[in-house]
Amino acid sequence: MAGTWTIGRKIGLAFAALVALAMVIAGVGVYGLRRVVAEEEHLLSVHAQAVREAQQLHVSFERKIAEVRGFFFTRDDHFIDLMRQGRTAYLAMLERLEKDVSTEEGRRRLAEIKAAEAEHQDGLDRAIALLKNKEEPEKVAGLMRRELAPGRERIHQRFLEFVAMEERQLDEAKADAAAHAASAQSWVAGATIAIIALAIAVAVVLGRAISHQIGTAVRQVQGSSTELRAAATQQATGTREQSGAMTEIATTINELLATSRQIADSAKRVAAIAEKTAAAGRSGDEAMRSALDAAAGIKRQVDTVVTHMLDLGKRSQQIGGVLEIINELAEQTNILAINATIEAAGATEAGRRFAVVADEIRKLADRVSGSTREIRGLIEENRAAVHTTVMATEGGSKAVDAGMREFKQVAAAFGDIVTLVGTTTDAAREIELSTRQQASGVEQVNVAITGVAQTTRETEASSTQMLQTASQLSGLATELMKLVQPPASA
Amino acid sequence: MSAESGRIDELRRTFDSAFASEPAAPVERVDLIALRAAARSYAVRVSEIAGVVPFGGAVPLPCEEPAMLGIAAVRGTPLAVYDLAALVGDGPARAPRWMLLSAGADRVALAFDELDGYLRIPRDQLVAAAPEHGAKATFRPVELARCGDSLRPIVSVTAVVRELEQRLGPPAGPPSKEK
Repeated sequence: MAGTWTIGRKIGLAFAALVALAMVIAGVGVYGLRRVVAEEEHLLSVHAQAVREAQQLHVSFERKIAEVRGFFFTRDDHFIDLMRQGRTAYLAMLERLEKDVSTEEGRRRLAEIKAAEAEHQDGLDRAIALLKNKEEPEKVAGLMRRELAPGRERIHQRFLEFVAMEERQLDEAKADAAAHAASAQSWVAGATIAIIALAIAVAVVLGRAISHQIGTAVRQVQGSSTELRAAATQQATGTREQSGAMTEIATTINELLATSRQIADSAKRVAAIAEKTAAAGRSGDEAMRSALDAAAGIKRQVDTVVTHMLDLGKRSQQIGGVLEIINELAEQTNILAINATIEAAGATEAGRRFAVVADEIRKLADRVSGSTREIRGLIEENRAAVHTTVMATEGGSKAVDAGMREFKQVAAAFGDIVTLVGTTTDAAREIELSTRQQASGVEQVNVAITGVAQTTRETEASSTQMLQTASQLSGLATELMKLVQPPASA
Repeated sequence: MSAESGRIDELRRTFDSAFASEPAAPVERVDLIALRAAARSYAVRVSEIAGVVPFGGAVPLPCEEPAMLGIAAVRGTPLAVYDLAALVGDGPARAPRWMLLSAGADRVALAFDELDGYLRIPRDQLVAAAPEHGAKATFRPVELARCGDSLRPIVSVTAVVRELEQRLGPPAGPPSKEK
């Protein structure tokens, strides 16, 4: 798990360990110092205080003695009161000293002092009573020699012994404090040595770990810088190509812009032409309607002609029927004339004259028959002409009908043309407007393309700069690698 | 002046001159009846016929002669009617409309399709017929009448009647008025 730790974490952990050790050392030092200080305070507060209070107690005892001595010289009871007050203070100090003394020996010696003082006070009281009773001075002096002076000396000796004991205990406490201080110094020194050793170990381990980790990172940086250099090279190449493409696009956009303007102008001209065309279409529509009316009149006339021609055909048929009758009569006359001629051929002179007449009749009948054939031919030609005329007229009527339908279709087409031309005009105007908007958009695109081209050139410069930076980074990585992991040959 | 008025004047002059001029000197001419039978044109001599009458149909009779159409009444006289086209070898008549009556005592009727007219041509316009102009040797025309640029075979009605008599015997014609 430690292999995945970051360098900062490892360094932090090492510093934390060092700080912990330093805190231990500081704790040990503080502990030793406090102990020394406590012992010093104990010495000062207990033993030194006891020595000082013992000395004050001794002074208080001597003051009580001095008050008693004043009574002895003056016989003034005031000194008795002062003695009582001095003893009260003495006992209070003794009691306080008993509390401050911590050793059994000290309390025993104080009890001895207290008992000696009580005994001495009893001697003083009896001496004072002797004086107040005005006894013999010798008696008082004897008492003082026998009891009071030795008692005072014992008390004084006891005080000295107590002070000596306290001073001895003070020296012992000093020795203990010195020993504790030395022990604390030893602990601090050992902990310091341990910290130094641990710091060295941490430094070695951390150095190796960081070197390994930095080496790995540097190798990755080398690889990345190599890839980055390749990518920068590729990007620079691509950016140059993109710059060229942008230039071509800008050129094309300019051409497109020019084309859009031409289209807009053309659309405008188309709109103008379409308006003229619409006007021409409306005129053509009116002309077509007039022509349609004229064609309707022609159709009526043609229908009339057809009716008359059909009537003429019927009349011709009727003439043909009459002519058939004439022809039949001529034929019968001819037959009769032929028979008359035959009959007259073998007759007498009168018969021959009749034959002449019959011959003339036959000739007339022949001529009538010939004329009838001519008339029949003419009638047939007339009928054929009428038929042809009727057919042609009917064809003309049909053509007129077809023409009228065509006219109507053309008129409708003209209407459609007018509508479509109107639509074309609107479309041309929309095209003109759209093309102008397109031209405006193309100009904006051109500006944007110019900006993109500028950005591309800047990107190209940045790519070159990045390539240089990648090269420098690769060199720095190599140098850093040399620093972290020296070459095996070195 | 239109063409029709010119023709009218011509007709009038011709008609008037017929009355004004003397009869022409007799020129040896031949009178013919031009006709068509089975779509072919023929001519018969006027001198060999007794008349031309309409063909109003014939009552069929059983007969060995296939050209015989039957019996028809002409002016109250029953006559044997023959198909001229069948006799001259051109097949049956298409739609016989006329009959010509043979001259002579043994009168027969020959039916034909169309009557083209009456022809009077000089005799020198008659030419001898080539052998190929006759369908059957019996009724083969022996003369041709030149009519303008065309030649019209002349059928001899007398020869036809004679041949029929030889084939069928004397026709059972109407009793002679002399009898």
